[in-house]
Amino acid sequence: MARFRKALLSLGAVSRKSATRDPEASERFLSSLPSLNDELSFLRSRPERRATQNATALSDPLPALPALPALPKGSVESTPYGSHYVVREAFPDDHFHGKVRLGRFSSANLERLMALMQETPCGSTHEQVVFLDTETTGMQGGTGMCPFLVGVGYFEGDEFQMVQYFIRDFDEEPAMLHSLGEFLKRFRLVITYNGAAFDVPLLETRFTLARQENPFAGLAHFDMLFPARRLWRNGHGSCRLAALERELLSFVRGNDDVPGAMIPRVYFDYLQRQYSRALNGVFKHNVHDVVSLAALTIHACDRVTSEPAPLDEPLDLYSLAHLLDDSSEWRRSIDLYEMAQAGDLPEPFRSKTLETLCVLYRRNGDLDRSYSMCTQLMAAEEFSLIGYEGAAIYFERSKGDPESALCVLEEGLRRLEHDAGRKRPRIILHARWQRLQQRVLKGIL
Amino acid sequence: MRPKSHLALQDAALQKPTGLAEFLGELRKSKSVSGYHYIPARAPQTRPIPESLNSKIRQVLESRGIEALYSHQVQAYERAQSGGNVAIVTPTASGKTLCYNLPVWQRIMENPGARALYLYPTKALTYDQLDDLMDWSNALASLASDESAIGVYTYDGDTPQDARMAVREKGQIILSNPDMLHKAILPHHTKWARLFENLQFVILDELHTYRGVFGSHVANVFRRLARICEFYGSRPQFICTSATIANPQELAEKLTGQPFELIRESGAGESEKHLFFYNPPVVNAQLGIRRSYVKEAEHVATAFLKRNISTIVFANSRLITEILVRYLKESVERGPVPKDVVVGYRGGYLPNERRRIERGLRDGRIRGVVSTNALELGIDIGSLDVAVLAGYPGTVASTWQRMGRAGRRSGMSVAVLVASSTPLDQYIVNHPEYFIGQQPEMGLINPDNIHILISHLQCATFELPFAANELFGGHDVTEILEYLSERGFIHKAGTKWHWTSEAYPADTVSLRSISSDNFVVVETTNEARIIGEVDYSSAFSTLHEKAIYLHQGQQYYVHQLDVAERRAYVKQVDSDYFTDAITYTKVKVLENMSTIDAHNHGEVHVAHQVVGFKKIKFFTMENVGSGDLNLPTQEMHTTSYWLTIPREQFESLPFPPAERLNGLHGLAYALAQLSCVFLMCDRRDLGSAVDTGLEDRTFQPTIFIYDNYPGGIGLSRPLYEIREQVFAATAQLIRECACEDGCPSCVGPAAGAKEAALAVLALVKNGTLS
Repeated sequence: MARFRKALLSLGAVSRKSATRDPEASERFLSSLPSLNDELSFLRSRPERRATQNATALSDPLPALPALPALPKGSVESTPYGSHYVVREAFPDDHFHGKVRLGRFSSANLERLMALMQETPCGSTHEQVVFLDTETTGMQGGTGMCPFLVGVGYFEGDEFQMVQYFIRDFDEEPAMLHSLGEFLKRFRLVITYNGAAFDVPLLETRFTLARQENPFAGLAHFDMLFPARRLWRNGHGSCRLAALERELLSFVRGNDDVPGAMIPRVYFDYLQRQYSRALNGVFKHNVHDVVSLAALTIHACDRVTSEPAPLDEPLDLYSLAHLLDDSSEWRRSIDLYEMAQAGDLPEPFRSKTLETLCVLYRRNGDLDRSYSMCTQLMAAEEFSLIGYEGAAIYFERSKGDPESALCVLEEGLRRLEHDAGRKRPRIILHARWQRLQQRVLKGIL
Repeated sequence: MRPKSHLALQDAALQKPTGLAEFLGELRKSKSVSGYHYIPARAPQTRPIPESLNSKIRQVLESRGIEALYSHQVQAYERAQSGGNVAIVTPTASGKTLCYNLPVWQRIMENPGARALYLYPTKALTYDQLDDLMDWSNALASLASDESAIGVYTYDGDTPQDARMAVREKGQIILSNPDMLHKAILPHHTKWARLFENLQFVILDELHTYRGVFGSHVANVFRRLARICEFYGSRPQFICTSATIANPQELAEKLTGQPFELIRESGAGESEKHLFFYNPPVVNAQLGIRRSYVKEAEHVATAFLKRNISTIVFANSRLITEILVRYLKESVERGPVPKDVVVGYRGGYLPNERRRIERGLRDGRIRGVVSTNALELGIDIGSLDVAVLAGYPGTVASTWQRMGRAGRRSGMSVAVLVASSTPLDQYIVNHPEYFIGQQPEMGLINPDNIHILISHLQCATFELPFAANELFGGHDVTEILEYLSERGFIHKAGTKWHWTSEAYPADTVSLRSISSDNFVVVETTNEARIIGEVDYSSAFSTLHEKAIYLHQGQQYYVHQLDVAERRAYVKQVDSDYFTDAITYTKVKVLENMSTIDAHNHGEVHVAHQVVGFKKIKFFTMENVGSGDLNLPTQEMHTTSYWLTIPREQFESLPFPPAERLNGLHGLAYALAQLSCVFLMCDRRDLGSAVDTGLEDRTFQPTIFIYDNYPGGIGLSRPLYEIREQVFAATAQLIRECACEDGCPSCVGPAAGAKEAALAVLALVKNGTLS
């Protein structure tokens, strides 16, 4: 036992357990409990724990406090693996999250959104879809990161049901996982936000560590981060859930919501003292994440089904058009691109739109429109391979005028002459020019 | 200046090169050669390929012309087949890879689900082995109609993210390094479930490199590996291969916590070897000053290079490496060999540069290379004919490894050890019989170093919650867990400790050092670019402001050292001097654990500070200036041996006070050097310091020889135990040294040092100390 004592003492590890604490001071502390914001800023100010062997420079832990009602209202549930804590909440069908009414999910066309994202449809009814988000003890990955709060939301009819599985200490995790696994059995599709990279592998790891069956093996998974990026990154930049819910759903979190980066520290503090006022804010944060995820899913389904208005943000129109242009609905994207173009797109989206339209019009048999895109592209300052190629194809195939095609190609090649960096376009144009010239020569001979 | 009798060094001989045989004859006759040793070629011992070996493997062996195996290969195969852990100790180029590949292939052919993890101490070695393994794997696949090739993959920092999944799923043999196991595999073990569930072999190549700090860390990584394997229900066998060291079995067992069987009879044949022990001539007999060993090494190497004989020169530090590159480039420039065929190679060069040099060496474009210990290991650099060792590498094992670098494939090889004037080198070069007959070093590790143990307990708890009654490396670690819990890193719930920090602990623990910091060297001559890295412990002495930092023979002037950001900004310069740091060390006793007479062992606090630097001119080595520095003190807590001399007795020695002090310092110097010989460790593993007690009238003059790593790595205790041998040898060295009044080869050139040191030794020997 005493093997390492001396060495530990050399590190300055003097046990604090024997330090007597002044009971009155503890009372005073209780009566002057800090507000949530004070507590958060205190936690924030504590030096971040870096795991090093020289761990001696850390600040003292907060003083221990007697048990207080620390958790939101809920119940303790028992399982063969022990017990854990559950909080439930229901949102009626007329509940608005920002500007989205949650009850509309039953009529949202989720299949279509998934099809556009090249996901295999899983044929689930709206009641077989579960929205999931976890709160964890870290973001860094690895098996030492524990999900201490798992929030799931689903629809019963049009009423949104929210369930939060919470562990009051690490030994409750097997029970919590068991309940979660049992709960997930009734669903066919799980929707997350960044779950492909984070929540799902994390939970799978936890099921492996607990030696329990992995419920995700039998569930389809749809990560809303991917469509969100396709639809809104061009127009909005950040695709963090908190950013999109504010901009797209007009939902604003109150200051009872603990910011994500603080969450691990709040939980560690709770573990140490079995009390944390901020913990309520973590539950709140998790509810907001799950409900926002459901609302954002509805909004994204709307986006790909309802007709867009010309007044929409041009970049969002462009994004939507781009999502459609390589699907079976590519014809629809033509109007969207035109609408985006009419709304004044910044570069490089303007050129990309012209290039895509050039191809789409040609594919649609609308050759003159296609050519008009080419003339705009060729007139632009930035060189466009598609513009010159498109014009050459137009003259060669639809006009039967290979000589004009050759002129176009020669102009393109001239523009590339002094541009050493553009080897590939030069090769492509040159190959086309050679082939065409051979044909012209053959025709003459 | 140089006596004519030193034929080998006559410039005339260089200008009109004779053949190699004649040159060696001349070298043998040279007065500078203090010893010559001939190792005759040895015939191989072979045995038939074992009956039980899979017929496809046999076919591949035969298709490569292997009709029989070396005896040690068969032994290794048989013992591995019977389920034991095997350690194989054989020289370089003795076919040791087949020792572990045969049992692994055999197992995979029997059970394609089986997995093997190959660990190499460096990434470079991994790539070297990969190509070879792939060839065998493809050859096996071409014989099997139904199976695909054995999945051989590397997994390291360079493995692209999208390929990692394939490695985890399909890799039957995974080549990696302990750092990767520590940082990426163990902390993500659930992703590697397939590997850990089916792990049957762990191969540890170059076992002897797992010594000291690195070995102590890796032993703890294996403790963590054992926990993970237990979780997945596997019990892998270990196969280790090692260069010759004194205690391979003990080291393997201490590293892995498993019992081992040892195979140390090599059945491979060896080419003949000529070993020369070369002592640079004395230029000042009174002061005992010899010609610079760096210059002499350059001279010897040049003699070979000018005959277009491929030569590797080993230097003991980065600085000397760079100086030698510079010298050699200049001297061969005048000869028949174009100068860009001589290059430097050391840690701190970026990977691409190193790969380029390795290729150049293999295809023979590069004829001469100057290297630190970086090329000592089994990296395939093709066949070089001559190894020149500039200075004794510090250990017997390293010396044999370096000498073994010459003649891997040719019929004859030459190795020349050029001694420096340090006592250690002088002892070796004047007693070549000691070196030849000497047992090689022991691989000493201390897995229970508290700093290292705490780091890995954090990682272990991160990987799998730590049960309250669980042992770690056989120890009850409850106290450490409680300590970590008080610090908020872990938290006990029910019967288990859980990780409670946002940090990823493996990220902050480097296996290569006790502290994990590195400085990057940023060149700002033109556009800023990173040219190298230097670890924290040596950064202050090589990258202080105004230092000349050498890289590939090019000099860089350090104009700013940003300690907080761990960056050094340098500019290319062309100066005629280099810099050498001056350090100041203060040791304080914390706890005396054992005392006999004047000898003590216990725990100490060491404060180490770089306080200034000297400017030293190239070639002439004169001191051309100096500067003061104000750098942070590096502090550590470690274990130490120390000798205390009662003040009255010390002051009663019949010498003037200054000479007494010179004697004390000189004795410390000689003692530290010889301690390395007897402890069989590297010179850098030990620190030494003298406290003269001048500041404090009640303090006794003391010599400290301490473990030069925080927490200690287990060297000072054995030193305390074998002190009598060390003192006897030290006395002999000083007494027998030909100098009159102390020289760099014994106590250092300081007035009265020799006599005073011997007088102190006499006090120790006569037991008059109390």
